[in-house]
Amino acid sequence: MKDGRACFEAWAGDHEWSDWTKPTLFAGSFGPADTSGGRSADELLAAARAMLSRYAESELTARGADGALNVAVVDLAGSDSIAVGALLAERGFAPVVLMNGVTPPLNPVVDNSLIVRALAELAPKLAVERNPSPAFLLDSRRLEGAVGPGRYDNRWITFPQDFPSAGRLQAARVKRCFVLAEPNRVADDLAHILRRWQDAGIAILDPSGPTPTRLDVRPPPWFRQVFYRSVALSGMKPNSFGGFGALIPIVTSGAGHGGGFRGGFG
Amino acid sequence: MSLPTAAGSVPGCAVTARLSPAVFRRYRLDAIFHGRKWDAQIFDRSAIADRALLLAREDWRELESATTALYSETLEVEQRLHELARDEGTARYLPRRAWNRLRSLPPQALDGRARLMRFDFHPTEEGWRLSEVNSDVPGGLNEASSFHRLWPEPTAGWQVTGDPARAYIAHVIEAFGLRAGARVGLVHATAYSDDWQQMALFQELLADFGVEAIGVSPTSVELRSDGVHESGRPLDAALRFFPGDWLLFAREGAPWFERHPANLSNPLGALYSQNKFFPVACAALGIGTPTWQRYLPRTCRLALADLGRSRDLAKPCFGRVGEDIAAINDLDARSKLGIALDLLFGRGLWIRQEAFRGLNLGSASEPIRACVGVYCAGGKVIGGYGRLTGERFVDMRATDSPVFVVN
Repeated sequence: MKDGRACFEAWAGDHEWSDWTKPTLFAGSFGPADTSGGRSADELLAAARAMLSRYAESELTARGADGALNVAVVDLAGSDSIAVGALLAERGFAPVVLMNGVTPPLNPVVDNSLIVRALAELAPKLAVERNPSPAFLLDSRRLEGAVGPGRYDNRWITFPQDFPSAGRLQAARVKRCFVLAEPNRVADDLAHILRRWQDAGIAILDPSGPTPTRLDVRPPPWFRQVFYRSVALSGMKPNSFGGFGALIPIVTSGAGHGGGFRGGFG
Repeated sequence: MSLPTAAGSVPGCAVTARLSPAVFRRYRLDAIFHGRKWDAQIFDRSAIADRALLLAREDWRELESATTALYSETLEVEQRLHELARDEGTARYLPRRAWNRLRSLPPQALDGRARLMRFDFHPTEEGWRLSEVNSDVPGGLNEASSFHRLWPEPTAGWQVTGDPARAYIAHVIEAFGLRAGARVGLVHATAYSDDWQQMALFQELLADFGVEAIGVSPTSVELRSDGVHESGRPLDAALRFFPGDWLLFAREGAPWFERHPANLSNPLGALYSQNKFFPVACAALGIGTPTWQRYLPRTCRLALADLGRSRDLAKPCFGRVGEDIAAINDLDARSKLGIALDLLFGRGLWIRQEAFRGLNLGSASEPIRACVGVYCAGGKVIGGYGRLTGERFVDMRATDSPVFVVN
């Protein structure tokens, strides 16, 4: 599927969680035809099946035995996250793409081209059941990548306002949330969301063992602080995510203003 | 569609009926893909309204007239506050580091050639009221420049308010004397797709003039005595969408104040008026602001004693999207403690402002309150857009709507 809007519509679907799908990857310079090195839909799904087999597969369903809904947060690397999301559709989930990184034309720090390719490849194969439960898809590489001269820093973080509130999930009878993450940890930015859900009574579960185990998501730095978003984005937080510079400067003699707001405020 | 007849000073404005769900779905997609509205959902709410805001012609005229007067007054206020801030005898009204940076700004930081401001007006029972000016990095240009074009219902006989993004870029080109082949930096927070959606629009508009636009962050450029350099090459101008107050308060923001470049839109002198404390400072320093006084609700310094009981609002001085605005009487103990600490250890970070009652454009069961953001560049009104909410305040939970002027 080569048209960004059509691809977006396929992934967003038409269900109660459609509106949360982030258009950033679809509306930017969407051009799967220009990418190379990506895997076919079948290859992506085969890899995703192998990946899912490492989890408590029989538990990974959109509805628990008690009839309550389970949601999933998939925080895997790039196209793996997309493929696992597509596969979860077979289990009653609706994949909700929450990836929010831009796709600049030149030298990005985070390469999103294979994600875009996977979105295009898998769009025609998506089959979301009626009344699905959401599976939110993130890219675990969103803060990774070699930052260097001449590269476009398109790293990103996810925010609580990108997700449904705990109240909204509970109104839909959500009681549990599976976290599929690689590496198997809750990233700081994601902890801001999961801790809110946990505080509201939603069980956060790690399905990486034979049976899911309950996670205790600790309050991350700046939890529930009004200015968290501003502070995080400006890189002023003490354990800063970095400067989020766009083009990282070519270091020349006398250049004294590169590198970002690391370490900054206070 | 005709508006309810204005009674006395009550503004003539209304909202259209809701779009049907199917029509709204198409409009939302158009807004995302043609209007570059990528932050279309915030928590559980759509950021795109399913209604349009309609203004009576005489009301739009009033807003245009008020906006041009406020624009001129604001530029004069910034100049005067800067002159006074440089005077050692003037009392400081910001935390020390921020104050020292601001008062050390060179003259080009008060350059009025390529200024863009957005004034936020609210219809109330007592007429139009102004909540603030976004004079530093006014956002919403994507929405204001496209939603009226994409609106799916008939608009025959309705007038649009302008295409502010296109008008702003044309103004910058002229004000800075940019020619085909020029290179312009778009200074923004690249992690923030809300920023990038606006940068993408500007890149396209600048390309129409043969100008190359390069996305940069404040830390990815070099500030030299002869201007901003990117990858070792000078830029002819820079358009800034990275909030000036983030630079003002961050340790690493210092070079932007020490080596403030020429040809920067908006320049950092805008922070004098972006600071919501400025009406208090003007009153104390004897600076006349007649148009501001006419439209802005009574504004004063927030004192510790006010936190005990007050019917007014507490507003952070550098809030931008309505975050943290609250009725003082509604504040919980934790919030009051946070503000109290700011008041004890900071200076000039909060104001107290008389609350106004926004006109209910909906019904008793579904109240709708509105705000009209009116853009002004170079002294000319270039367009506007609406924000609608069912809440008491128009804040980040509000939805964006097109504005049409009707007879």
